[in-house]
Amino acid sequence: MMKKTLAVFMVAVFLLTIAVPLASNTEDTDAAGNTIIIESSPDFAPYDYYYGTEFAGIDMDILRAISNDIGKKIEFRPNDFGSILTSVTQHKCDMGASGFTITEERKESVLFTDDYALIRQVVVAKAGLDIKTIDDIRGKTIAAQNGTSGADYAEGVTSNLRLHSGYAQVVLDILNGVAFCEVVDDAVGMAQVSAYPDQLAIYDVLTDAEDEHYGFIFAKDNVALYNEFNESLKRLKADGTVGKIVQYYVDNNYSPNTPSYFNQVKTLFVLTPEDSPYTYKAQGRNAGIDVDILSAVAKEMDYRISFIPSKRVDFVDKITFTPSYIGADVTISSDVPEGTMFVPSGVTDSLTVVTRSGTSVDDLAGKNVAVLSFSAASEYMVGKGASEVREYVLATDAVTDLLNETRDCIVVDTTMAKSLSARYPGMLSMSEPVTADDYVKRGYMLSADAGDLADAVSAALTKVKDSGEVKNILDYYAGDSFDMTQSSYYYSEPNGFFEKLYDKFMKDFIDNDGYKHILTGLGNTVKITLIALCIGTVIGILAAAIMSIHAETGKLLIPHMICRFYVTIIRGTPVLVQLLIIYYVILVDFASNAILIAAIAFGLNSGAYVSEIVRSGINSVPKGQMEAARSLGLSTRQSMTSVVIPQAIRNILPALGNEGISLLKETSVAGYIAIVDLTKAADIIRMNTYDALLPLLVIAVIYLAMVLVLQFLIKKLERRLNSAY
Amino acid sequence: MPTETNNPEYLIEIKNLKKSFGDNEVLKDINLNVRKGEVISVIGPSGCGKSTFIRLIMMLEKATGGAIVLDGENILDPKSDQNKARARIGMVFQSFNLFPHMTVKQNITLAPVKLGLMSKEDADRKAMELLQRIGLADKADQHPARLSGGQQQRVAIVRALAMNPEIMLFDEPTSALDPEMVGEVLGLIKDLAESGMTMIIVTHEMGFARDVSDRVLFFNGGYIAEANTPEELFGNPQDARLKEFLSKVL
Ligand SMILES: Nc1ncnc2c1ncn2[C@@H]1O[C@H](COP(=O)(O)OP(=O)(O)OP(=O)(O)O)[C@@H](O)[C@H]1O
Ligand SMILES: [Mg+2]
Repeated sequence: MMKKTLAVFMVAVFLLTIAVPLASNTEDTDAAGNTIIIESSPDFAPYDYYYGTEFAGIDMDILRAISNDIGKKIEFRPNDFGSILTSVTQHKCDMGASGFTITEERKESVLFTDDYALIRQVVVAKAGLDIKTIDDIRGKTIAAQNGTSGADYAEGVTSNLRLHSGYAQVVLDILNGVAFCEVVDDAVGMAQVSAYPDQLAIYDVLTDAEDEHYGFIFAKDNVALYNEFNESLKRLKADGTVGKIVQYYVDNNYSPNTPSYFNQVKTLFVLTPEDSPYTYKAQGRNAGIDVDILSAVAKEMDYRISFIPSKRVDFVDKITFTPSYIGADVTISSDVPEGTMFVPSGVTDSLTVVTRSGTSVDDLAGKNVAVLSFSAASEYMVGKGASEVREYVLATDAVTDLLNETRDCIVVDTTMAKSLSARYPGMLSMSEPVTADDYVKRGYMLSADAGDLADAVSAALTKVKDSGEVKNILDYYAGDSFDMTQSSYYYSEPNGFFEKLYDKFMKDFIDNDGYKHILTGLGNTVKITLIALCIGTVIGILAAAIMSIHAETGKLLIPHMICRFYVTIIRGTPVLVQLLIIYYVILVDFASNAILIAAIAFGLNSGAYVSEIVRSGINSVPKGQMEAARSLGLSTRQSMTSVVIPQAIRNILPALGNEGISLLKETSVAGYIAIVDLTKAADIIRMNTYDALLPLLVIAVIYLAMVLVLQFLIKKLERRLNSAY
Repeated sequence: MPTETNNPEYLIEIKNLKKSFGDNEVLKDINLNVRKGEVISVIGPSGCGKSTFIRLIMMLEKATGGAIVLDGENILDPKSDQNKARARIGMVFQSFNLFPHMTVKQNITLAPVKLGLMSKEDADRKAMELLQRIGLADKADQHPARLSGGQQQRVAIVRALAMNPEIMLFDEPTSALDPEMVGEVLGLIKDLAESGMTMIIVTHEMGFARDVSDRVLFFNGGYIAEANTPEELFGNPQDARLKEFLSKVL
């Protein structure tokens, strides 16, 4: 038995030795302590959000610019929006950046920097609703994030408020129909809508909402750091850096699928007109020949790809302003717009004449002809003697005018012609192609300054072509006459329950690196549990020994009373309340190692339960054992440690194991003090994908698996212990 | 009147010892002097306070009054080092009270080593010597649960002996044993008696008490009702209660 006790003890020591260094490594605060810890609620695109596992957004990037400017390291830490202000005033972190609207009320507790963003409140609700004035939302169930201007505003409009700690829940409320709408900062609303373009819409009806300005917040006594940041912010506003960052996010339509401004290199940004078989949306996802070719190119280059809906008219402006952009779905023309260049995709096409069904146009002379802007048709029509050639931005407008006989025909790329025939079944006729098959040369528009990018794209494109992938893609779309309903070659719309589940799983855990959050969270949960278990066991045994010695001898009255007090308080209050009290009240000055604080809090909590378990274990050892030990001349303490406690521990190991299991599960509230534990990791994924089911299901399975493993070990231990000494 | 002076002839002097549990006055006034090497048996009806008496000497209970003087020092005095005094007294319980989580040898060596009286090696050697003497050397590395009751009680005796006690206390050492094992334990105690160990034995085995004791005490009503040599006490009892008691047990 001695050996077994020793083994158990050694395992405990071993766990402690691995756990403690792990714990101290968790925060990147360097030894000099000059990393600035910034808390933010990363569910606030376009200001604060996770792109994969990296913080992105306007706030984050302005702070990165400031960090470069003043030469100080910064580190972002996620926390609930409602908790950040307290965190700042209590010096749990150095500053807060989470779209804080500058208000007189907040100014009483924190210092605000100059403003860096101007926003207004808007209404976000399901798309297609008839919301015309503020009266249309009065009295309805309105969701909002706790502590925001939106919540304040909504309070004045309805009594049916649903306040949440994060925007993921707010959006889910609307998607699930639990809330009618939300009141939210305009840019944030736009980001939400861009995540759910088919389901959500912005209703700009809050005419009485005032302009609001965002600022970063600092503790009142943190004046030196505040000044340093504010001066830098002023400089960066003046030199246009802030404007560039904001513009970058605007250009990306505030999409939460936009990486940090400072980390763009790894992404192909593709401008998509979304109106032809080359780029379009099917079931809310990007699809089309160019979408797939460029996806293959990006994969070949080991880049991510991000699609930005954009009109062709704006291509030149956008591309010259942001040289990393690539315009897709482009016809290569002989005159290259200033500041741009073309990269041919190798895809070619002919022109075809489209007419009303049953009619045909053999000679274009004297005809009233429709063509599409930026297509090869305008050039083709030169010298054909048409009575009128009208350019259309949208093919559908051209078809409308054709059908109502305003135009006689449309001269258009054959691919597009086929697409229109498929989309207007039985209404259009197509001629044989009127040009050679390679009359129209397709390709991409890049900035003239993006020579390296152009070379890289060309090289990758050659490889993709050589591998036969481009042909596969073209065949794939041709199979359905380019009717623009097919999903991407690389992505098939999930069918049935399991495929949909798989699709969600990929989105939640793989595509956005969600599994990394889960791993981080799992690591922290395990760390907290192990350290807390060690702390709890030590405290518990100590307290139990003190109380038992007191019961035995009447000595140690004061320590005994302290122990009783401790056990009563801990067992009588919720663990979350204890955690918050320790974090916000007791260990206020305990730097920023939240994980250690959590481990201490849970350890203290567990200790009370362990002490009761150990006490019952001590009582389960027959009195004669103590008496025999004492009659040999051992002191009460020696008798306790050598004779009673070893037997007691053996009796209570199963109960201690169960306490370990409870502890593991209880750590799931650690997220309340800005720790990414397993539960918080699921939260973060939900913030990114607005999917609540799978992340929660997955962490539930992980918790369950850990508990089952623990239970198995306890069972095994129990079986070994049940075989007599 | 108790004698206040210590007689060096006596190893232990017990003076006016009293013990009450609440209103229950179990021991009212016990006086006893024990010579070195003397073997004393304690008999009496159930509940008369025999165990309480033994436990008071071992300081497992707190006396209500009186003194127990060991080598000139009153061990009931709160200022005296009771742990040290306990180490000088050996005790054997009715229910053996071996430590189930330790081997037989560990049971024996625990206290001498923990208290720094012997090195681990010396304690081991001594334990093996003692076990050899009682024929249980082959059980040294087994846990008590594997031993018979008689073997366990002999180990318990040896465990107490390992501390080299000046006096041994026994509280009905055989009452928890199956009849066929009583002999081996009594045999060991008898050997001890013959080797000159000072002993106080609470027993129901009258034959054994007669055989081994120098003096037999009959406890009744909170007092030592009669004390005499075994021949006199059993052969010619004076106290009426003693007569009645003997008529029942003999
Ligand atoms: N811890 C205790 N608390 C209260 N009363 C006790 C306690 N221990 C013993 N007593 C009482 O003291 C009296 C003497 O008990 P004790 O065990 O000393 O008797 P005994 O002579 O050893 O009897 P037996 O022959 O049955 O062992 C009994 O009435 C018993 O109920
Ligand atoms: Mg008794």
